[in-house]
Order: sequence, then structure tokens, then C-alpha cells
Amino acid sequence: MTSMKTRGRRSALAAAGIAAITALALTACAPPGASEPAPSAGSNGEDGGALKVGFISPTTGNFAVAGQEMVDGWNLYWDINGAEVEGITIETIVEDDAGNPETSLTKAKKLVEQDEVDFIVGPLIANTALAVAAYTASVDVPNLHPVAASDDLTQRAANDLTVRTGSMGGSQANYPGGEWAATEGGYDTAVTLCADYAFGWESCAGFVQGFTQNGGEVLEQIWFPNTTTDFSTYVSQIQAAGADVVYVATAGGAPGPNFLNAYLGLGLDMDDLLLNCCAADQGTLRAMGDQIVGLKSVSYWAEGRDSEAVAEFIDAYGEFADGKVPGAYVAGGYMTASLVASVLAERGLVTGEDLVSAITEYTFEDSIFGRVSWDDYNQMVGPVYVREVTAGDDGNFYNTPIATFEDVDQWLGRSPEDALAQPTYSQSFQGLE
Amino acid sequence: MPEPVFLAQQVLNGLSFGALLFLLASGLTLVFGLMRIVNMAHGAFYMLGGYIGVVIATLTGNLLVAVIAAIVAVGVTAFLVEVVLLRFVRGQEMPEVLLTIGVSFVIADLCLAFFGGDPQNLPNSVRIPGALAIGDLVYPWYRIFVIGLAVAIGVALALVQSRTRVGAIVRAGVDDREIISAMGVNIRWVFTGMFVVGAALAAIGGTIGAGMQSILPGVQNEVLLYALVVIIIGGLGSVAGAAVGSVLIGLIDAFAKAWIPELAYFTIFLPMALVLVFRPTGLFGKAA
Repeated sequence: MTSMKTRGRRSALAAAGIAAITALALTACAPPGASEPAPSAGSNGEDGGALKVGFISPTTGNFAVAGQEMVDGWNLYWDINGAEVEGITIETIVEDDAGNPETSLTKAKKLVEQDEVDFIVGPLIANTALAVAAYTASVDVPNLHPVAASDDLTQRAANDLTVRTGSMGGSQANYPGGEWAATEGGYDTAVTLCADYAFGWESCAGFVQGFTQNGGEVLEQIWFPNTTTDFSTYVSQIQAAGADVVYVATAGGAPGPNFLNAYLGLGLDMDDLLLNCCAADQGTLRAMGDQIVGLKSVSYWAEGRDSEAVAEFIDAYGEFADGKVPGAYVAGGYMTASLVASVLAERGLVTGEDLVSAITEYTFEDSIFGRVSWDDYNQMVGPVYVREVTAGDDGNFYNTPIATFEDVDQWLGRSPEDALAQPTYSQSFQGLE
Repeated sequence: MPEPVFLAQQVLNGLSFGALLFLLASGLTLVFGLMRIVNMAHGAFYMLGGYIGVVIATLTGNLLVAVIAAIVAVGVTAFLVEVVLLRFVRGQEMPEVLLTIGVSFVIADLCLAFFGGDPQNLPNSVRIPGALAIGDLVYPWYRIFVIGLAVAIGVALALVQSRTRVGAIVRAGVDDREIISAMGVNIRWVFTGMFVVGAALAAIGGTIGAGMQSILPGVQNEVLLYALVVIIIGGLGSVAGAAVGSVLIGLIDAFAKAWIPELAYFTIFLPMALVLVFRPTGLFGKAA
């Protein structure tokens, strides 16, 4: 029992203990190498200048895994190809924003004012991405986005210095999924289950428009809060809705496997299921294994696609990550780096608005995503794949394309003016008249 | 599909989620009851138990072995935390809570470093296969097993508390710590034992729960929040309260998600707020 006399001394001891533990916890939070610049390849004397890159990503906190994957993808490219293009050396400074818009902005200011970077890559989360993009535009620094999916980044909040380089908007990437379900898939009615925030609304809006414009009928739309861990209730609702096809859109991480556990546990048919990118990302495939071979999803990233660029990327990542297969976040980082390298190889050292226009005027014939180009709003136009999970000979699982929609743009069949005149997507507005 | 089947399914959904909540909340409420510590590391114990359970279940293909391994590993961790850290701040509420938060951080980060960031689930091979089918009602056996397990553990806890000498000491300790130590019981080791038992319950929850929902970075905070709501509703320190609170929250959660999805999160906190207003000590709590 604590005696009152010793309490003072013990408090001091306790305070010191807490300080030590807190310090330990904070140190432990930072993944190794998080703030070290990428190793630069030995300079060979011919000096074409240098590009200083600020890379913002959440490498701690709730989004640490996805954030670290995005950084890994970027670093991996420079590791295998050398951080030098035509004599231009690439130096990367990684900053952690922990998924917080305030921190993101502070880190962006630090990178611009103190480190004087030539451009900023990232961050990951939609609201942090929008905050950083607005700031970098105001100080004339280009901002490349490898993963952030918010439609508005290249629509209502578009500017001349912000480019989406390694992903598509939520509605854009899922529209072909709806089209596929209604046509090739042969489904007449659908029920949707999407995350109840901007990314889920946009993804669902894409699917619903693609589905209804091709003759399908959406019977019911169900929305789940982001904090959901037990999906059994929603699965019962899906079952009760009795539609031909179930479309599900979640963010990456646990919701995918959590949903599938509940769905398969209740004995529902996997053949009637179509997921978005992230619900069927590599994390889900690794977690679920054999039982989801044949599972279908829609995304701009298909790691099982037969292509030289993809094979090279997968081999390199496997060596780096103990034989793991890269998911969409790694792909976004890698895609951005390979795009920057290609543009520098073609145009030499370009910075500022010239760098952005060099990217948006470029057609990347053999990127890991396929043939991609950019529209007037600096958004990627490229293929979207309907994918099916297959088991590889190496013991890994791959999302392999079963249908490809080429040159998908972000306007879902509208003119840019008409699309921008609409309200933003929400539960109550899914883009339907 | 006929409506009664949907209703029955939702009841079972609510009960099975409630059962998982009970495995979590019973340990937390026991520790609080005796030690007056809100153990913020409880979620991290669940997480650690889940990871270890998944790894062992994958290696051995045996759920019982996995649960035992998780209990041992988490029990030892909890023992060290209590003896090496918590004893130094006994009786000082703020340092105690902060210390357990620190422990939670450390465990979560070690788990991330060790097990990586992928969501982890029990392998299919150790889950009870198949589903109960009564007419149109289909319900997975694994979830029914979770309900049964929670009932069994709840009954066992209640019997130990009411029928055994250990239970009597714990009950006395909850009511009056000074008297029980004056009677010659070494209350320090009772504390340690109870802390370990609480952690072991969290470890069981983690391993069994990994068959219903994924274990991954961040899960420690989610489950802790639910467990806190349950024990506040049930009354701090009461196993019966934890049982009632778990079933209540499980059912409310299931039906709210189906009928008033916009309020799905709010409906968890509304009952808690109501209980706090009308019965501040919780449904089964003793008046202070």
C-alpha cells in the first residue's frame, strides 16, 4: 500500500518513468529510415544538376502501413535504377505527417522554405492532400500525388501545379466496374455497400452511374461508418436486398478482410461480388488466402497483368519485401518515380510549371498501369481493369485482369463543364438524374 | 426473403458481437473493480493475444493450442507490467492511467515491427466449418461457438467470484481494500493475479475474435473504446454488468446499423449517456 510519506518521491519517480516510456513509445513509432534521404547513386562526374524532392507521407499513426508502402514504392524505383537520370541526381527528403492536415501543411512549408525542394510528392490522405496542394500552388511548387484519391484534387480544386501521378479518383476508377457488371457480367440488379465518407461516396457514385447507364438497376445503397469492424449486420442486409450483384467499396486495411469474413461466413456466393481497388488489395489477399481465389474487383492497378514493366516491378519489390507482392500504394509510389524519371530522360532538368507540363504532355506507353496520359486538369487517363484473384506459382495471390477498359477519364461520360456543375458526391447525390 | 429470418440473423449478429465484447470487457471490469485502474493497455493485450493466437493457430492448426499460447504470452507480459511498472505508481490515478497508455503504445509498436501491418485473421482450418441451417435461416457455427464460449466463461467467472475463497477475497477487495489487507491477505499479489487474469481474458478475446474481425495496427484503440462503453453501462467492477452491457451494445449496434445507419456510432454512446444520467454508477454498479 502506498504510504502518504513516500508519495512525493514516488510521484517524481513515476513522472520520470512516464517520460521515459513516452519517449520510448515515440521513438518506436518512427519506422527505421523514415526520415533519411534515399540513397543516391554514386555520381559519375557528369553533372546535369540535381532535383531535390520533398516526400510527405504518414509513416506513423493509423495510416502508417499505407504511408510506408507509398514511400517504399518511390524509393524502390531509385534503388533499382539508380537515383540519377541523365546526370540529374534525385535527392529525396521524407517527412511524416501522421495523416494530419495541420502537420502535413507544416511539413510542406518546412520542405519548401527550409530545404528548398524542387517539388513535393504526397501526401496520402485526401484532406491532407487537398491542404498541401493548395499551399504548394500558392508558392509555385509542383505537387505530385501518387495515391490520394479525392476526385476534387483534379476537379474543383485543380490547379496548374498539382498532378495526380499514380492513382485515379474514386468515381473514375469504379465507373468501368458498373459498366462491366451490367454488360459482360450480365447482372440486372445491384446492392452497394460503401464506406460512409468522401472516398466511399465517390467510389459508389462511379459504380452506380456505370451500372445504371448500361441498363442496370440499383435496388439499395448501404453505407457503413469507417470504424466498422463487424460487418455481419450489413451482410444480412445485403442478403435481404436480394440483388444479382453486390458492389463493395472500402478503404485499404482491415475493412476488406473483415467484410469478406462476414460475407463468406454467412455462406453467400463470392461469384456475385465485385469489390473496389482497396477492399481486394494485397493485404486482403494475404489475409484471406486460398478461399478467395476467383474474387472479382475493379481498379487501375492489376498486379497479375502480363507486362514486362509489371514483372520487373514485382520482382524488385519481392526482393525488397520478403517475397510480398506490391499493392496499390506501393504501385502509386513506384509509378510516380518512374514517371519522373521518364520525363527527365526526355526533357532534361525541368522544374516548376515546366515539370508539370512535361508530365501532363507525356504519354507513358508502358507504365506499370498500362498506357496512360493526362487530361487538361492534370488527371491520369488510362486503363481500368476488372480483376480476378488467381493463385501464382510462387505461393502469392494476384489480381489478374479479366476485362480492360482503356483510356478511362475522370468525367464519367460528361463534359468537364457539366461534371463540375454537379454537386459533389454524397449519400444523397450519386450522380444520377 | 421473409422478415423473421432477417430479424433472427440480426439477433444472432448482435449476440455474437456482444459475446466478443464480453470477453473483452469482463477482464477490464474485473481489473477496475479490484484495483481501481482503468487499464488503457487492455486493448493492446487483446491485440497481442490476437497476433500470437493467429501465428500459433497457423503453425499448429489447433485453436486450443493457439488460445493457450496467447494466454501464456499475454499473461507473462501483464505480470511484468504489473510487477515492474505499475507497482511503483500504485494508488496514484493519473500516473497509473498514463503508464498503461504508455504500455499500450509500446506493445502496439512492437506488434507493428514484428507482425507487420497486414490485417491478420485466424486461418480457415481452425474455425468451425459450416453454418447452422434452420429453414431459411443460415448462421455460421463459428459465431455460435463464440456466443457459447462467452456464456461459459461468464458463468465460470460468476461461480469463482461467488463460491470460492479467491472470489471472496476479490469481492472483499472491491468493497474495502484496507480491511482486506488488515485481515492478512497480501493484497499486492491479489492485484497482480487479477491483472494477469484480466489480461488473459483479453488474450482469449483477441484469439477468438481474430476469427470474426481482423487484428491489425489500430485495433487496440477500437476495442478499448467498445470495452469502456460496455463497462460504464454495466457498472464498473461488475461481471454481470459487463454481460448485460455487452449484449445490450451488441444488439443495439446490430439493429441500429440496419434501421438507422446514419446514427450507427451515436447509438453506441446514447445508451451510455442515458445510463450515466439516470444511474451514474452503471446498471449493476454499487453506489459510491
